[in-house]
Amino acid sequence: MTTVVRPPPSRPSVMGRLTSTDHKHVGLLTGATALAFFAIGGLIAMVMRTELAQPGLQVVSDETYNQLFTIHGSTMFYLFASPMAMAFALYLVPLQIGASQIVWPRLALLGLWLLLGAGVLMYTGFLLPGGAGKAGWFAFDPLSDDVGTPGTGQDLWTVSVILAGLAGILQAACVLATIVRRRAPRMTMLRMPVFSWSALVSVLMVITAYPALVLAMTLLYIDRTTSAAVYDGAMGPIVYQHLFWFFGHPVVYIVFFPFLGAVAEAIATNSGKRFFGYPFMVASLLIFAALSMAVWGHHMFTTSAIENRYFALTTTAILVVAGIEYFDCMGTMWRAKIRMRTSMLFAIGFLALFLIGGLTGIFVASPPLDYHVHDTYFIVGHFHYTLFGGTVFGMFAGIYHWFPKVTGRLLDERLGRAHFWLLVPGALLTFIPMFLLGHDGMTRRIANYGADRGWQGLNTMSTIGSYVIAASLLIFLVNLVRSLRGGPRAGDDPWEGQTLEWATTSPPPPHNFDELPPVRSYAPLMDLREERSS
Amino acid sequence: MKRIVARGSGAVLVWGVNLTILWIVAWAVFDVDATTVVLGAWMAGSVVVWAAVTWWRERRAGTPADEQPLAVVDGSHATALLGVAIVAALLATQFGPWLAYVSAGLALVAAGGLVRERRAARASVEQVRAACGEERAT
Repeated sequence: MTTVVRPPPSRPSVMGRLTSTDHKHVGLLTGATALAFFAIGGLIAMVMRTELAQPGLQVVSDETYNQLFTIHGSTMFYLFASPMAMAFALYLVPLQIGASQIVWPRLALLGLWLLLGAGVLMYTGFLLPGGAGKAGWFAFDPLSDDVGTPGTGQDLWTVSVILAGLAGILQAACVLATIVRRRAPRMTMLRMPVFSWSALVSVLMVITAYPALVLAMTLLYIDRTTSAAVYDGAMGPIVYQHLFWFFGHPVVYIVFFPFLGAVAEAIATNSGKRFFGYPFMVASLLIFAALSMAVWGHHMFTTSAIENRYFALTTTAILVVAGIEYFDCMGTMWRAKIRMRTSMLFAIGFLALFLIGGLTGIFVASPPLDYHVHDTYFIVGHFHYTLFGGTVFGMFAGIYHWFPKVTGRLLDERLGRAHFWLLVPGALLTFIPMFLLGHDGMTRRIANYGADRGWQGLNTMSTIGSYVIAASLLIFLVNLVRSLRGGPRAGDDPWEGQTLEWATTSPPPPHNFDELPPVRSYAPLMDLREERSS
Repeated sequence: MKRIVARGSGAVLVWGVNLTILWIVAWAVFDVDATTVVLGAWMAGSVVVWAAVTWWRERRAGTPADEQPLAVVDGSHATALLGVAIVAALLATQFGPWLAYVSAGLALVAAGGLVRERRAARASVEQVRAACGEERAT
């Protein structure tokens, strides 16, 4: 492939960075935007946990609490987790498959700008008289219509979700097209690293599921602002739920798969072995992705409007493929000389914490059990273990693993360990009590509860846990700033990586590679090392 | 199976086939509601069509990374402007038509910028092609 490259200015301006179409810049900016929203969403969560620590209303009103849980959930899904998954894919996939640039770079950049617009609009609601959106991150109709939730804040929320959905579709299309069209010579699909495969299934799901979100929100917006009454009638709210959950469940896996891939890479590199069971992992990813597109109805078990048996079956079947992925990760570690770096700690933390989310998922995959815990804190605990245990721990495994490649500098390992060893107890302390509270009947989305319910102890415990999480994230922030300012130089390949991104400089040049090593397997750099040693 | 998945379109196709199986099971074995059938058909059908289009494009383009010069775009102010225009257009539905006019103006300027960028990229690719042709001739 011949590449025409104009040398970039030595230090690009802020505007230069914001309009750069280099996939690395777009990926980094998308990731930085997502991290900023993660911090804001986290602060909102702390306010909510502080309110819930004791019975009664101490910090915010019921009305404000409604806005806070809506914006917390919306931020974490639409502005943090999905964009962060796309950021990893945008930055790393072209490097891993040996491409010099992403396909349709302008669309990727447009996605970033739409995401920024979505964030600004969602939070602008707080400045308006009626406040921000307050119908939950799912905005079920009729709660979210102009009668249930009047006001411009909810309108802006709806528009911002449309924008975030469009941003995701655009960036996912770029990643998919890059994988299909820009792989390096001899980089067949079955030689793509596990991370690139996980990114591929994630973008396939985005392109199939996100249009349903954009459609649901566009119809909701029309419903709210005109007299069209789209979701009126007996089946209107059910159709809304179908459309929403057709996106709403797959998105959990969309924000899980890329981080599973990151964990797989961290485990293989830190174990000094090729990833175990690669073809089974690829097959399980494809089947897992398909199954996870066919489980949305389990969110609607209690509506009596769907065939519960079908959705219970597909949801339970996910356990089999998830089991294969766990088995492959553990098989890679089996009898390996494991280097317990921070990325490895987070990878193991991911496996342990996501397992709690997965096992409690079996409960809610069963309609009779789901009827008992539906809309309670049990569900809040369950999805926080899948999202916090899966996405956040996987994200940190990825950040600690690829930070040296992206910045050319190493993060401090001692601070990294402190971050990990605070985050694990923090997550357990915050989310385990939620299972007990939910089982005991504490419903979701309440700012207040009676002192006679006996929920204060568990709620206080959960609130303390959230502060511990915040402390651990502060350590991460300090580590990040210190390393960016003057961390030790990383070199091109500090971990003895196995995939192509470690064959280029840290950070990579605008055209990614001066020279590509031969690709003979999904671990080309390991092939080279073995060849040299033999 | 390995040979099918080895191509980009093959991976999309395998995924589409998985979705189709799930849809058929839902439709034929279980008594699912009409919306589930429609959504299942949309996802399975769109992915299979999409796999076919990808396969056709792969065949037309040859190998994924063939010897074609490629202009790497390093920045696009017009794209950023287009992003702002889209956000403004959506906001116009809330804050009045004046914002729609602003948005249309921005979109027009952005479109002009995009055309200019594309022309510049084509020109640089042509330059390289011409240079490669001269090299081969000598």
